[in-house]
Amino acid sequence: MLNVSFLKKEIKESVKTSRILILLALFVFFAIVSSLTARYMNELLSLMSTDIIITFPEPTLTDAWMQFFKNTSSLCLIVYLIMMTGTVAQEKAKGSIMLVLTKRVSRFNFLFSKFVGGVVIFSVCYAASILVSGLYTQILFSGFAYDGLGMSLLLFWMMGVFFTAVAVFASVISKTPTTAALLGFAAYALFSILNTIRGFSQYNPAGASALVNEILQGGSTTSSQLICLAVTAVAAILMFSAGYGVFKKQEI
Amino acid sequence: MKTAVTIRNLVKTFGDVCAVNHLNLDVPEGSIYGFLGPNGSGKTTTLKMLVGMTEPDSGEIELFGNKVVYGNDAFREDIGFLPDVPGFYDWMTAKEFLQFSGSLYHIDPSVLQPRIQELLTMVGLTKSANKRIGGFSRGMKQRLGIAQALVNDPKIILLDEPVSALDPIGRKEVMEIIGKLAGKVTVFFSTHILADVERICDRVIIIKDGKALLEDSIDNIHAMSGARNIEMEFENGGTVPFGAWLETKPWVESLAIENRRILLKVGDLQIARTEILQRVSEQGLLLKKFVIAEPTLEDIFIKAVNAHA
Repeated sequence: MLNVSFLKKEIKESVKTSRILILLALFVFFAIVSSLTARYMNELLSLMSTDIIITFPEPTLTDAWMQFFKNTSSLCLIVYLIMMTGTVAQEKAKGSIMLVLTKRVSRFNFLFSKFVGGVVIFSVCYAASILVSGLYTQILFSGFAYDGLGMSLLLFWMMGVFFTAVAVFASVISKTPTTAALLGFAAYALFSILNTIRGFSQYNPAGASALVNEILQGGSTTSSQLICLAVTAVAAILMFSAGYGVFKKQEI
Repeated sequence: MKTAVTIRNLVKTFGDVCAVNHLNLDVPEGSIYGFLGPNGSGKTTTLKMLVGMTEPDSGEIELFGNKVVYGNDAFREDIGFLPDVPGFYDWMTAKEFLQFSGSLYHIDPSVLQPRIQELLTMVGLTKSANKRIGGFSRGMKQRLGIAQALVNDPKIILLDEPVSALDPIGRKEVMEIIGKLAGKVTVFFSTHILADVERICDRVIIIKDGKALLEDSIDNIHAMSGARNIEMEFENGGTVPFGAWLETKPWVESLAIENRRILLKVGDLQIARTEILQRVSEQGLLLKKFVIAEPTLEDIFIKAVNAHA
């Protein structure tokens, strides 16, 4: 099912080409910035407006996490998605795919290893950013946990898995890495727009970004969270299967 | 002799273009088989079908008696493949790439390590084994490409235009490596460079527009070609009237006169030789040079391709 040698190559490649380092730096940077901006935003705004006195509510650790999820779901996820969309398209454009697929690597092995490789890279970056964000939140707010933190993190991780499947699909159907990146970004924009439909976020595979806000504000139910988790997982499987369906018949 | 590759009525079309048109061929086991044709004749498409990257519209492919089914990877153990533009991972070293290639076949490290050393020596990359592929020349990449195609100790290696993009030195090096494989493994390689085929191949097939024009051993192809080139040079003139006489002869296929030199291609060498020498004697001409040249594969190739144009 999984070609361990090819998976190892995927991980090693992300290190050798500095892809994972760039992503790690980005994820960690925004983890730090999220806590800092949440803690010092009031002071920053007060400094900027000298004529009028603005009173803000005292920031809490939930503001830090809200900022963290906002940054991670936008900038970090987009950069990861764009990097990941090149995964198959680059191999096709470069011709390296021929050297792999003519050996004892089935097309499923190839694609599944790419998918798992992507999930591993995302998970490492995400885990690092959670640790850093937790640490900074603890330092700045004397605490880091809130009710539903575990579920929020899990929902977000599952959304990352789903977008990995989206990236693989976009990469399979595209001839060039540029087209794949544009398709991936278009898919991200589409799923983000779906979140604006009221009450739809739990059925949206990218609904985690809206649901975590509700969790932070105490307005989300366990059932909607579980529905979102299941929908995202199923959507990831369907998206990967669709990609494999195309890839299986694709002439290289 | 056993057959390594059998192709029967292979057809592949892309829209209105028929890339491979009812192609038949048999590659004997252990031979070096040249797959010859002009650019766009269907060589790469045929090779891609052979390695399972492209699905044929119809026809059959067998490798060592086992049918190649698109989507089935069972035959991969028996083959090694080098595409026309091999895409390596530039961040890997040559040794790492061979280790990676071997690991994709699940070869035991105790077998793989000495095999890698042997292959690096064979392709002359021992000194560059730990250098990044990104810094390799085209020739080095092609040599590494041959090494990776041999990493699983295949029964046949399929090489798509292995020397086309190389400079003369790179070409010579790669052709020498391919030549060394004779008798060890079946080699099936496509090219449009005739000199390469003539130098190392046992058998050759010439294709154009996806159709086979000619398929035989190099020796038979030379023997079956009736046309021969004759080069004559006179010492005491008389070239023009002699040329005019030659033009009336039915066995002359082509004729060119350059000062005192006459170059002609004849259909029947025996008659041509007798009649020419008789005429020279009758006219009292003095021959400085009379050379009968075998037709080159290039002549045969051009003749075969033009005949089907």
